[in-house]
Amino acid sequence: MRVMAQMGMVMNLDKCIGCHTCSVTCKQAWTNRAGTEYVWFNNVETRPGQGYPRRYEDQDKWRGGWQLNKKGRLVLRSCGRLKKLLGLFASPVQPELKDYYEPWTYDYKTLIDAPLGDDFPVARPKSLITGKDTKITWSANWDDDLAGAPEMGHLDPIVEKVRKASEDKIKFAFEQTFMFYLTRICEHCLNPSCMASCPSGAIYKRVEDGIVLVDQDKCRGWRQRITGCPYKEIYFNHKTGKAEKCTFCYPRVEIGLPTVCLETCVGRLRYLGLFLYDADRVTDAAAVTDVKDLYQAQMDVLLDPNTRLVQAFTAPLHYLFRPYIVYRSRDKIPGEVRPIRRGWAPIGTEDRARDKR
Amino acid sequence: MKNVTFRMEHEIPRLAQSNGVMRGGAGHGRPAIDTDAKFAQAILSFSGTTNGELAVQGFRELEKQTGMRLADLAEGSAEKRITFAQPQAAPVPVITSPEWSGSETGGRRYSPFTINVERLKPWHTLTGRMHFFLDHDWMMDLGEALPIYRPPLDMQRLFGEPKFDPNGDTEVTVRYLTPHSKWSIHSEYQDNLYMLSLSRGGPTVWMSPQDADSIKVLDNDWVECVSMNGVLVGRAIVSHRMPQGVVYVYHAQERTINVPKSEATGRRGGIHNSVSRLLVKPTHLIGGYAHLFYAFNYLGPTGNQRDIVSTIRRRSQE
Repeated sequence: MRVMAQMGMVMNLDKCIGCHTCSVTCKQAWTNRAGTEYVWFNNVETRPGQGYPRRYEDQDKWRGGWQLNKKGRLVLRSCGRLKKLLGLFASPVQPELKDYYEPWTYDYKTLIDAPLGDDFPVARPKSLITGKDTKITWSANWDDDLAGAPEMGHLDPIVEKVRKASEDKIKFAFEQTFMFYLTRICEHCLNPSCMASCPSGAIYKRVEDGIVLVDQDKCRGWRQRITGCPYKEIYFNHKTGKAEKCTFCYPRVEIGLPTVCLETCVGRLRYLGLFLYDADRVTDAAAVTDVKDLYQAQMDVLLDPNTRLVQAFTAPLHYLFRPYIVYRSRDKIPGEVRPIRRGWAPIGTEDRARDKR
Repeated sequence: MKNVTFRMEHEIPRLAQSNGVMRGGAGHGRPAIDTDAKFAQAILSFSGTTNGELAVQGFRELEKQTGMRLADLAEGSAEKRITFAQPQAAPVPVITSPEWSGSETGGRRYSPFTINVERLKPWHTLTGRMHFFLDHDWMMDLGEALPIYRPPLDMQRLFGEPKFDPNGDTEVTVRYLTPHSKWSIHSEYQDNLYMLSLSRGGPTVWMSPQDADSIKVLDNDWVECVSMNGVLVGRAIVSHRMPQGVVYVYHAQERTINVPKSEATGRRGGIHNSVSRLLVKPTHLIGGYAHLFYAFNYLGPTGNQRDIVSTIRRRSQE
């Protein structure tokens, strides 16, 4: 038994009203920067719908997550370690910008600067990638509230699967259908396949709370982790050339504040807490083959902190060996000046550029 | 306003100081409101929501009438004055004022009737309570003393609007509804870059697949909604969430964002209310009866300007 701690979040989807407050506040806090214009660490999808990025659940295409090999052992769905290393310089299987969406802004300046005329001026959309006029044909949440479902709903991989299995039972007709909101952040998995896919070892799971983080100094931008994650919650910052992901707002969690998405949730559907689990049993639970056994397998991994066995395994044995008085410095050196990293400049086209004001 | 008298003896000289006074004519010596900016300043000066002194004064007045403590809702803002320059620079929260029934004191979000519920201010009805049943003679005569369903008006017979259903394969006439969207209050919380990136990035018209098929509109095609009152240009969202014969144009999607000029008029797009219009019915004319009275923007019982039909056409694509 190896007792580990994990910060966990439970989301009661029945309470989600799809207001996107979590997405907006998360974006303002974390991805309001150059290189991350298209990135939403938190998003809310409507199901049936393709999600963001498009069809990310289609693992036959994106090859994310784990599968069992012939020996019944967990291996990455994309490929083995040797093959991954040999193919390192080839482009990995990953969604492109058109699968996410081409982020845009508007030519807001026209609204103020247009010469007097008979008609109201209008702000046209401009691509945040090229800076040129763009036509909006896809967004971070195009299929909100079943928008466009008659035309595109069949592209939802789950709809596809269920229709195959149940001979066309999901109907796209008024009063014969259903929908719900799916709120998503990084799962901070107990067995993260993104970590297993990362050749540089830049991604790590924190011992104290299980939060999965990317070491920006170690990341070399191989993008293998984007393939590895079955939820496509790893994003590539195209300005820094490094991967970024939901941080579970660790700077807030560390000082006892909840994550931004939780604190701003209008429906109050998110619950946050620390639980203990047995790290030695995670792989077995993940290797369960019958879907119906998954829930129990997951429950079996969790530990009750009030049992003698768990307490025994978490006893501070190092007390026997450490001196009585321990000297240590704070982790952060006071007065240390860190260089400003590339990619932390504010985003926008000419008329939105804040540094020029 | 709502039985509260505001005294302006401080405000008029103050406005004269900031705006200057008129020289000559009927308004000689009065505060100048001859430019749009000065007029906007006048509006802000005379409302309790933007002038803390008036808010406190109004609540004091209301305290006398109700016997309840109310002025504390605005007292902390007594010196606050929102000038026209402030909302131009950045959004400004308003001051809690007796003009409205909610409270935003201490950073609260507005919710209607907060003051009535928490401070026991009577509702403006005959009994001072909420009414479900309206015992006015006219409401009785018209059978509307209790909330009832009224079928939509026959706009074709009454006003010569086109008949329902497809008319050839280029246009379809449908009911035109303008509900509030799930996340916004008018343009607020909807008309910003993030929320536009989480939707379709401009004005939209929700259509049923049947109606869209009948005029060969695909999802995200540009369409025009035309009525005898005006025109709206937007992109179609085709969804089976919509029943046949109805379109939704969510409230207050501004025409400042990504709207081409209309083919029907040659002018710029239009917003949801360009197509709708107010239709007065007899119950709207009830006045002087508790809460059924006329005030600017308050016309007795519920308005029915949403009972409208519109003809949808596919237009040239950008």
